[in-house]
Amino acid sequence: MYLAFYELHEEPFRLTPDPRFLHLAEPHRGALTLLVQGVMLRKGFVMMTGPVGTGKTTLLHAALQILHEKSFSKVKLASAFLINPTLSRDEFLEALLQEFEIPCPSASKAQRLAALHQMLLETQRRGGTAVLLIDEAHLLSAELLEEIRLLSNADTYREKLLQIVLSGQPELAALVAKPELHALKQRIASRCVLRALSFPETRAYIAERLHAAGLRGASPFPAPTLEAIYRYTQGVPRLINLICEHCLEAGFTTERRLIGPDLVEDAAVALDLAGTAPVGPVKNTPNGQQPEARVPRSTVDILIEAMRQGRATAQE
Amino acid sequence: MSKFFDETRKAQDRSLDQAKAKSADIQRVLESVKASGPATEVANYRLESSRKVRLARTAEMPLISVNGDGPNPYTQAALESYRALRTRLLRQQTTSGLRSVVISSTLAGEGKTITTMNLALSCSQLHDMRVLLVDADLRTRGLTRLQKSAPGGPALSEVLAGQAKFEDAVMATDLPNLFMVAAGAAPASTPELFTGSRWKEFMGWCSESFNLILVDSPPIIALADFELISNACDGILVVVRARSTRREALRKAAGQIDTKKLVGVIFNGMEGSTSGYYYYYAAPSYQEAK
Repeated sequence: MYLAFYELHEEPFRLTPDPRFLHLAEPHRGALTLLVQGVMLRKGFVMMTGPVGTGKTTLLHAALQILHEKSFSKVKLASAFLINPTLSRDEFLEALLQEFEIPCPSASKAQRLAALHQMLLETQRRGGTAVLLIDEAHLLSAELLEEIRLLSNADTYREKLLQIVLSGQPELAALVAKPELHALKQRIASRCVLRALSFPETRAYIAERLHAAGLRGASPFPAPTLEAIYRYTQGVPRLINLICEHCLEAGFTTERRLIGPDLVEDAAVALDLAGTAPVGPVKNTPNGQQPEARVPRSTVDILIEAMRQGRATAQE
Repeated sequence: MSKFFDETRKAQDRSLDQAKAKSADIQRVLESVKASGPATEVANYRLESSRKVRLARTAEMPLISVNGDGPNPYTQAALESYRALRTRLLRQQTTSGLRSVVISSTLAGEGKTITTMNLALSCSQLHDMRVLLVDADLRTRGLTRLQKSAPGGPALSEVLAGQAKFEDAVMATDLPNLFMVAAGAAPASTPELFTGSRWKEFMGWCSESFNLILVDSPPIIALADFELISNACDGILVVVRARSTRREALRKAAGQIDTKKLVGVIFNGMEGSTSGYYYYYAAPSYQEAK
């Protein structure tokens, strides 16, 4: 193990959903706040979308953990967590009852729904909250999405009895935008969008995790190495964790306290990330995809227009 | 009566009673989410023994006006404008993840230093925004001169020359979330200081420690410094002054800017009181580069 070699207490790039060791990157904190807030304020539907590896599942775990531990100290939170939502309507209801631990001997749909509703009301009576989290929700069939919407009809007038969190890849947003799911779309009270980290955020994330793992001296990742990490991972947190972990191990076996960019390249090859990396040095521009879309016109035009408009208002 | 309807109605009545207790709960839970936020522990560790510096600002106003005016319609309007600018900048930050922004203008005297300072004051008022001001205008040292007392000790020029550690140059201001790096003694040739790798390394170190870094730089035209300084920053803001900035100068400046980094143009419009070279306050209206 490399821990002693780098003077660390624990593995820095192993993620744990324990909120005390979460150390989320910047975009994730906002998303987590929205998730927890949405459930606690009983908004009904909350939707989270983000590309592969940006930390959706970790955030769901963290949100659930926070809700369980911190909220409603006396009252239990009733929660169901569906990680594989490719189910039929009946299977879905069955899975729901299982997750909420509702005993229901009958297989009739009416009976099952009544049992579920009873549990929701009971939870609410005790001042608790019932929450259903669905991961990989972009895999949900339109049929099942409709079923889920119908579940949310079990509302009081003031607030929702069942809080539903849908989490999935960006396709989920497109799915919900379909005309036949209009009724569902309207019910989504808050949306959070996760994105990959920018270069400065990647740096901050790595520094924060190393610090949390006990590092107090100089970082084993100097600036050129950090640039290489960003180049291969494009700021996707899961890949950052993978590649950094790989580098620390490689640095340990080759007895290099300071990890060079060459080790990053080795790691990228070993992890099969090399093919996806764009060549060339990291520009300090935030988040690759943004700038082109953001600056369609030439700077001169923008500057001059700003000046012209300013003149107009100044003369008024 | 429908069982469903009846029970739902009862549940609703109960929920009214529970509502009050819940808001305190929610507050407490959200605090715990904030506590698990990013870049707090690294920064706390690095900045725990920072020197203290006081800013020359009027008592309760999060705004610097050199005449030392108290609250009046002009300053109120300016405050609002800075808040609007802050909102736009933070929205950009949310979508693109930028951390360091260099603020400049075509020529001297267009208001970049005051804008930088007031924008930083405005941002640092927000909950958990740790803001760093860097005075990279080693010739004019405008930001540095806005300190009430110069505490001495290492500053940016010492950092760049490799004579000081990064954390030793950072000073804590009298505002809780606002930190500052002074310009330091001006050496004979400033561009050379920014050519080396120290500047880039320093900005990298800063982006690990702060949520937002605002860099006050020399004017864009006629000096080599700006390009070198902006190379290590994520974004560029250009201050344009009403009836003062010349079109030719803008065109020339535009050629020297990396358009991918241009975050926006701040338009310094209404003239309040003007006195001296750098020092006036004005209400900026903001033109986003879209």
